[in-house]
Amino acid sequence: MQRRSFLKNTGLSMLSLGIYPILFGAENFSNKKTLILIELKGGNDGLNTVIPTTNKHYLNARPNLAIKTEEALEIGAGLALHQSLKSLQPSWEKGDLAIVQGLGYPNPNRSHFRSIDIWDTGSSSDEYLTQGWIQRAYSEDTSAFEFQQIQGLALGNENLGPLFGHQMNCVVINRLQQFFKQASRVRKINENNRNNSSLKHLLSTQSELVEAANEMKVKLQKNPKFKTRFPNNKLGKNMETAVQLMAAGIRPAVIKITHGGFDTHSNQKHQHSRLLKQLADAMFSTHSGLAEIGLSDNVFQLTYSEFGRRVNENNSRGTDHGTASVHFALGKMIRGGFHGSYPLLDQLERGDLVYTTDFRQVYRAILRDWWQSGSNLYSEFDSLKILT
Amino acid sequence: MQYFGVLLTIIIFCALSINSCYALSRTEITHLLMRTSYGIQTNQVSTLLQLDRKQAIELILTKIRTEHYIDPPKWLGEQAISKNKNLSKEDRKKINKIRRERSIDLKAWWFKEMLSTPSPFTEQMTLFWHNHFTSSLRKVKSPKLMYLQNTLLRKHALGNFRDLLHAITEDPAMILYLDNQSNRKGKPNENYARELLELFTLGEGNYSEDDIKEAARAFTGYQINRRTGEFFINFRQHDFSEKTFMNRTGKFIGEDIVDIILEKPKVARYISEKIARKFISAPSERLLADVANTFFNSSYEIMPLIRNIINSDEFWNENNRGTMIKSPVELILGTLRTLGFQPSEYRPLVQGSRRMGQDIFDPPNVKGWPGGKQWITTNTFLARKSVLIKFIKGAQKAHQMMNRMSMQTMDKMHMQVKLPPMEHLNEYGLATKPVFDMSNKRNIRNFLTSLIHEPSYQLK
Repeated sequence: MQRRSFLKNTGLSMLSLGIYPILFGAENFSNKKTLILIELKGGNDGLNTVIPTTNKHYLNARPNLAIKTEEALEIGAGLALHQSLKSLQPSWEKGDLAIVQGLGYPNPNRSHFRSIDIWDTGSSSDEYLTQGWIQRAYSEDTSAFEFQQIQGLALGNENLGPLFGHQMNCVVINRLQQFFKQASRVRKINENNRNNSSLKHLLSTQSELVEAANEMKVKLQKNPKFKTRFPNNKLGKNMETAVQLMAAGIRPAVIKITHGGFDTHSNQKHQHSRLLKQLADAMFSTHSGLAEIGLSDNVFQLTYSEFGRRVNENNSRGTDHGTASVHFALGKMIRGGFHGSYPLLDQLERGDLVYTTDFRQVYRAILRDWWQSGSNLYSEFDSLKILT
Repeated sequence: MQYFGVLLTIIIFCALSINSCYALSRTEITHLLMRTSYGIQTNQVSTLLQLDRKQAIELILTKIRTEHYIDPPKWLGEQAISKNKNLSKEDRKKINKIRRERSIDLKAWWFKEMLSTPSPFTEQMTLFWHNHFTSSLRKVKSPKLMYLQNTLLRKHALGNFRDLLHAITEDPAMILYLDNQSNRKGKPNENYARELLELFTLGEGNYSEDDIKEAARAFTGYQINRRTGEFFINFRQHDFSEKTFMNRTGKFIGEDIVDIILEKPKVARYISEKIARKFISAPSERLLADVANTFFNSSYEIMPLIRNIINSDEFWNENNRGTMIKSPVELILGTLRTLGFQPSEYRPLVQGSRRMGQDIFDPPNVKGWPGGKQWITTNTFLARKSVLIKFIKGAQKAHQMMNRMSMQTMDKMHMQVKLPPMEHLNEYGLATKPVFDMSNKRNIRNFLTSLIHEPSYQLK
């Protein structure tokens, strides 16, 4: 039922393509690039996401959890997508979906807390940084980010992740209506001439906030509703809000959304399947929604996670913390297909996969090829060619 | 006429002599309490009005505690529950749930301590050290070890920095937090050594990468017993060979490294500057050099250092008042203290503070909360207001229930709790002139809501 309405809406969106940018005020958006980051919180099991269904090491390591060829969606190279990722299949066939394999870093850390820090700050395993990698890139070159009042937006979770830091103007919104309600209690203040820098900072934050909320409210009000349907769950709703805001002309450089529950230590099968379905459906809706509102050239979606999971399943029909994993990039500007190489299942380190692609190669691609940022951050890494 | 002349001379003389011999004004009391305590209580004000600066400072410093005032959670007496790999799913879930509950318990307990203690200054400094020698429940995963670290920080909060540093080197929570548990002979983990030099003592640029490597070897085998949670030096994992650290060579162990570090006056400068900046928004170079000297010459005694800082003209300078942003903890506790409200539940304080960006016992990373202006983002800004409004509503409701008051008689609360008159803005925690007009508020409820929305209420 849900599937059918998705397809129907994609059909509709094709018709309306080209009209929407005009309705939305025909601003020139060509250089305004947004990245939607989806954090798969808890550590997604990459092996059961893009599955080496015929690999004997895989089958041996997972007597209960292995997914067989006939249960999955073959995509070539001896790999198959988990059945729950069905709604991503059309994008894969069209070439809009990149599958980045073996993403990780040297000397992997297996603590949730520490490893997500490494991904969020874009550090090495033994390097402790306090700012998110996007904030750091911003501090070197602000130009790629400064097309909006709001430069970063976190939806549904307080954690700013790669946006943690204090240079970019970032807003966290749990629920849109609640945000407006809270912001409406705040007054804008013009007096800002006291010789007290802390007070000045407070007053300018207050003004920024009131302006951002007003801008959002006004833009949302005159905004014609788009037709794409989103799944009725937390992730779906947050993705819908993201598309809704972008449709209204609110175009942060980064939108961060959290999809939680991937720490599947026990009885993984059902839960993992459910989470992947939510992910794929929400990503597909977002992809369609962006096409409908004419922003396909300006936005892409990327998943990330603190780590993958151990190759051998554990005694509770689950998997423990691992290392390298597979990730998705979805968008019209994405160079579809496989990137990096699948980690070798017969060459493990302490029972874990050895990464083949450094996650900072993806960050480099985003900085250089997506935002055309002048920042030198990660210039020592080969940019991964995920963008057309 | 002659008398008048003499009187005038005396007045001018006293005004010039930094008037430390004079009783404190209400604004000075506000300033002192906002920087050294959590909010202001009406009864404190009347005491302090009788004292001059020096006396007031001594009053605060003599009340210092080295132990907590509120009994800690009862489960601390119980055997620690160890988690092992072979547990069933249900047991694992149960243990995780208990740990989560206890974590919140512990945080709530510290909030209660901070609000109820007769020496809020002790807690101010304990929290300061928690933000210096950071550890987090998320990483350490043992509420009990985090509690023990908290008591250690309190014990030394105003004692001697040398003792504190030695103690923290052997603190079980710290050993887990900075991975010294896996720092072994032949396989050194440099995490503790690096942060010891970079964040805890010398600051960046005052040591070499080799110093880190050599120090790490000296700390090999500094471990905790996983079963008892106690510190010990595991000699089988300790690297006994020679180390060259800061141009000195010897078969150093961790203690030696700490002693060598403490010989450097730069440590005194680094630590005393951080403490000075806790109390004074923009201390002068002259003051910083002066207090660094005091600190080094007193062999790292913390109390004289603080006495020095709070007695300085710069601390009291009118231009330096209301120039710092209250931390979430200060904002929450200050509001509750002023309202004379003792909550029955402390968990909402934990959650409120977390929403504002300060999750105590869980700092964001090893550098702790950056604080200052960085407390305020569009996000935390809104959280500050909505959390406080909730607390005020909660306080009012509690008063109503206790006194069977109706909503219409909110002003009775004003009388009963003996809140200061609305004109005494200072005593409500306003350290500087409000941006909005705060006069002519119809009733106390109205007044308190305006207070929350007043930008300068965020300042101390």
